[in-house]
Amino acid sequence: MSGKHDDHKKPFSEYDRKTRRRFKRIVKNGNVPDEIIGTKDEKVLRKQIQQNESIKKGWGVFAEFIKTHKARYSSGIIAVIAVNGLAILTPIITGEIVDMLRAADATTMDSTIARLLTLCIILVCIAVGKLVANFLVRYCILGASNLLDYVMRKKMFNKLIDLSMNYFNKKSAGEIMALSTNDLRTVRMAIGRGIMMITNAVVLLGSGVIYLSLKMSFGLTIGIMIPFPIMIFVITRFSKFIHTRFRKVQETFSDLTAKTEENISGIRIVKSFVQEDMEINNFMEISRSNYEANVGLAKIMAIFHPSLSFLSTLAYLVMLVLGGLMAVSGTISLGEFVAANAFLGMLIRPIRFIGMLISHLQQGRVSLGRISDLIFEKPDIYDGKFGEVNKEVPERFSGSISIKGLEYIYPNKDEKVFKGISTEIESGMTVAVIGEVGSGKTTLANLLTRIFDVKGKGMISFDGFDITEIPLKTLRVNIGYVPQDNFLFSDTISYNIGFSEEGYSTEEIEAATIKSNVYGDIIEFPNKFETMLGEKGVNLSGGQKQRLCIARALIKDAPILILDDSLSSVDVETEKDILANLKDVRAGRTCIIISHRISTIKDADKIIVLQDGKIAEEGSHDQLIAEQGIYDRMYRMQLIEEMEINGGEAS
Amino acid sequence: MSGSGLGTGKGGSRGLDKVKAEERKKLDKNALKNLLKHAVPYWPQFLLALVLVLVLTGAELLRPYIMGTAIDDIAKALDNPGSSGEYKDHILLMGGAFLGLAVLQLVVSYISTLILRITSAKIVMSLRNKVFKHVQSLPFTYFDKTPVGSIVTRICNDTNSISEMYTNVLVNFFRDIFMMIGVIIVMFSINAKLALTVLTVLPLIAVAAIMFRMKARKIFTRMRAKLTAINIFLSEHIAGMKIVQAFNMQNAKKDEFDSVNKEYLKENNKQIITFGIFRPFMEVTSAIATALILWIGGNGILESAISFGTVYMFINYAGKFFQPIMSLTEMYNTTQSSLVSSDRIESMMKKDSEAEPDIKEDISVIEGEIEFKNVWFAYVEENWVLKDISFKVRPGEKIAIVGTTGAGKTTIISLLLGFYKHQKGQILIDGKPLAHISIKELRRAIGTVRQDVFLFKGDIETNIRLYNDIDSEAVKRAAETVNASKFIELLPKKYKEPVNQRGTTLSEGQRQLLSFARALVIDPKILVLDEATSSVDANTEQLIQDGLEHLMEGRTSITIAHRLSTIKNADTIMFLHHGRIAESGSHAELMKHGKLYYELYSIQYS
Repeated sequence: MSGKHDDHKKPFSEYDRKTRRRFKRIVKNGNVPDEIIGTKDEKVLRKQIQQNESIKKGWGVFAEFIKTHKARYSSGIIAVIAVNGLAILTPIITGEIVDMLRAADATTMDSTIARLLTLCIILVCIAVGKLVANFLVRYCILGASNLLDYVMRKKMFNKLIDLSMNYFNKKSAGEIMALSTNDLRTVRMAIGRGIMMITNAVVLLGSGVIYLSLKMSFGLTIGIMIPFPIMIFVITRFSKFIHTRFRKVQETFSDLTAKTEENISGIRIVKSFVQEDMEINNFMEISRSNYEANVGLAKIMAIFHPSLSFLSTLAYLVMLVLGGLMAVSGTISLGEFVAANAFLGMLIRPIRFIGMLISHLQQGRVSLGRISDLIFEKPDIYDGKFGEVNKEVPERFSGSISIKGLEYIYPNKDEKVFKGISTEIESGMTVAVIGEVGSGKTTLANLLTRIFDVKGKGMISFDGFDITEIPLKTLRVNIGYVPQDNFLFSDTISYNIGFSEEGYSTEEIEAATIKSNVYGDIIEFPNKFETMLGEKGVNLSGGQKQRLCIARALIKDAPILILDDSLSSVDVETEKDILANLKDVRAGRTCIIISHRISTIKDADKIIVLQDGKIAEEGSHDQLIAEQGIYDRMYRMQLIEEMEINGGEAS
Repeated sequence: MSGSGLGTGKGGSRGLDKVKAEERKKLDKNALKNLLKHAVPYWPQFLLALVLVLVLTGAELLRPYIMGTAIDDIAKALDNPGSSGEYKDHILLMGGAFLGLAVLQLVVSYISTLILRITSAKIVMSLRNKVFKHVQSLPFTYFDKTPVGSIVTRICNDTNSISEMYTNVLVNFFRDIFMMIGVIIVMFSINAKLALTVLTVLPLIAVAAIMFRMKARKIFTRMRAKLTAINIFLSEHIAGMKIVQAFNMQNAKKDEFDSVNKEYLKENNKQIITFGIFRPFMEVTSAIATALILWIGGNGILESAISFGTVYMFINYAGKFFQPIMSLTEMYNTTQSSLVSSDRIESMMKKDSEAEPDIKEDISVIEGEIEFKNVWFAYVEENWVLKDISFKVRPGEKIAIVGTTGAGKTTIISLLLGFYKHQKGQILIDGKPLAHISIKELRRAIGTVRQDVFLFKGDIETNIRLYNDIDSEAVKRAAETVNASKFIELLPKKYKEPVNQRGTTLSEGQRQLLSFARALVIDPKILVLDEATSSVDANTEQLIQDGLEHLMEGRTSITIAHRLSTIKNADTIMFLHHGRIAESGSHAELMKHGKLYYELYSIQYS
């Protein structure tokens, strides 16, 4: 009852058997016939076909893995055979002992006792042998599946890290993480435990049947085996019911979670409109249907396990009566009767696990498909997407940027964020971008760093090179970027500031923090630059975080610096200091400052006002004030905000 | 518990483990009592289930006995070849008994499973309802402090974890104990010497089982910690992927992830080793037990002191002794996690409900007069958000609050609705202090429209009337009044058009119109509009403006607005600045005053 909706649910379950079969065939072939195209089934079919292909690709990964670890798998399977071979010996020896004891008389007493001791010791030795073989099985097969788990996860992450933001906007973090935990686990289960169980069952059942029919009468073997197919039938049949009912439980549970989540998120409205009692009633109804689903599951579970036990008891019953009668009439010896009895217990076990095995395999298949979707996902932004990268692009840019007729539209959105923006930024210039929420300021930063790719018309170029012909790495090395969300990793302060593959010296890190006015804060912490951030470490204030992020960008000493609303949480005084420090840094460097606050950008060489996807105003502070347009209005608005009244503030 | 853990701190497993361990330790003494108290009302069911389970245990103990007796019969028959017919009958009789037992087990275990599962489902349901009900009564300060996710976990998942206790532990605990005692009794009554032999090995099995369990638990905890480390790493890097890419750190991050991933692999392999050694080790121990029984029993058979059947039974009983030990150690874990969940729920249930007034004055018909007298308020101590706020609104009057972001406008509304308690001063409704009025009555008289409209899963109509007892006609009229009907009528199913959670299929303006209808349909005496039109495009705004006129007619209204056009006609406009009322008066007065309001107005309309 984990509450998480899984889509391990069988496709086409709502259709009748015939259609279902037909659809399955279609999915297998991979071609949707014409008469289905355009119907609502097409989408479902295509999804299934696509899933099938993903699974096939996933199998490819797995097959390759098996090939590399051939030796391991084959020794694992040999070990499984050894385990079962040894396991079979135990009842045989027990039977041997019984018969030996029965045959003993006064003359053979001593030798019998000696043999009894030997056989008893052999029994213990067999157990020790089984221990060793079992260990090998686990080491080889489960160990390999652990390794597969590791390899797949590695592949996933290595792919993930090259995917563009588009992918992360499409998929939630939860979904991606579920791939790495739940899906990988089910694949590992299917491939590790699944293989182990299948080999086990086959070897055990095979050798068991052969032994029984050789040693004992064929009739007795058949008799004992009669309940087996019934058990398999019951298990597979019941698994379906259990599956549906279990799904019902999960669905009602996730309804319950959704309702609770909705209620708590909307508690303000619930309380404002005094809807508490009715919400309680509503919740109780859903709670009730979850209860009913649970009862439904309980009913089937209550019959499932007992009836399996009953069926296996029937096998014992056949054994007892048929075998007993045969033993009494001397067809089989007492020892054989005892041995067969012990055998039975060993044979029943793998059968009871068949249901589990089937569901392991089914779930593993679906999960494998999902994982391979990620592994084979194509990155959106990469070198060479628009032809070869230009080899003449300099290592270090001069910092001049040209934007010409830039258009941009978000995937799945109708309206363009940018409807043709053009501006020239000369090397060493400080340019400010201002505009209302949603005017595309951050999008511009994302386009400049090629976090997003220019999709519509227009172009961005650095030093005269089109952004698409610049190697991604070169581009990003040349831009020091301070993003809006001031994201820091849960690691030490020095790790976060020296966030680069090159690595920086302590002096360089300190120098950067001095420039961004956060040095004083850092040395106040007991562990100074080795202070851990995040949940396990200190919680920084918004302003401190922003200043750390600025230090992280400054240390790169890049010719272009982009500050996306990076001073919003620092107070006015600190802002002044940072801006003064930045002035030195900015010398000879192109700097793009995105901000809401006019005080931050007043001194920029050029201010760009974005509105409705266009550059509405452009010029220096004084020029724009003189224009008395949008910028001027924003400026005056902020003046009011800063105005002190009633003799100043209490706090 | 965390063992050699990763010290680099990149995973955070150690921290998590520690928290858990501390949480376990902190459980108060009554934790078990608290956990079990939910079962008390269902004691007859549990008692019945217990009795049935005991019957099952008895049946389980009988089976080897029957088989053993049959073996003895066979042996005897072989010793006396003349009377084999008699023994054949005997075997058939045993077969009959065996079948009878099987049927009994089938029926009894069906009934007991059903009782246990249904009862625990009932317990979860009622517990969940109780918790949900309590949460509904909690004050806002609680919701401000507690993340939604954690409340949802309490209500949905922790209750589930408690139910585990009732399905899998409560009765099975007794089953296992009885099984162990039963085995010992049966063994001694059959053959004391053999029983003593078995008991010498049993401690070894018990120790092996317990050790294995403990070891397994440790390893599972560690594995989970490493997996958590992977999760933390992933979630952090998915969130910070932009930074990773912008700073060209892909390769370094691949290596970092590889080391976290490898840690998990290592732990997984350790699990293989532990399980690969411990579990077969237990098999070895039980093989030793079997060998001992066979050796001593075999000698006994040779001396004709012990029968074959007896040896068979003992081998079986030794195995049956071993199962309960395993299952008891398993129960220990379940109980632990149930206790933690129960404790969490318990502490949530202890939180105080929203205060209802001690002196209830009946003002079910609220006139709509609002007065703030020198009200001071702070969310966090001494950090005043509202400072000395005083104003009075007579029934039917329209007032507006303007001011810059963070001036405390919305806080005034929250206080009026009783979401928070002010620290100083007085808030009077119809001349009566807020503390003397039933909060629910008060809220019923106030219709609120907020900037971020919260829609519920359902349809248009249910989103307008919520759960109130209002007919479709009234809903339609309300929608028409606020001009929402125009877009609703264009929807395929009109008022029955489904709305998903959060209402993402509707535009912001449409959602806003629905919220106007929602406020109007309850016919409130007081109307509160909090930035209700700021996220709406110009067309919709015109629609809303027309609707608003109707909406405000004959009602006391408080409007908070950024756009001054919407409030020009208010009787009084208050300019809130840094928590104080800086200016107040009609539009004309404030314009004449020529300060903040005038400035603001001239910026917007220059």
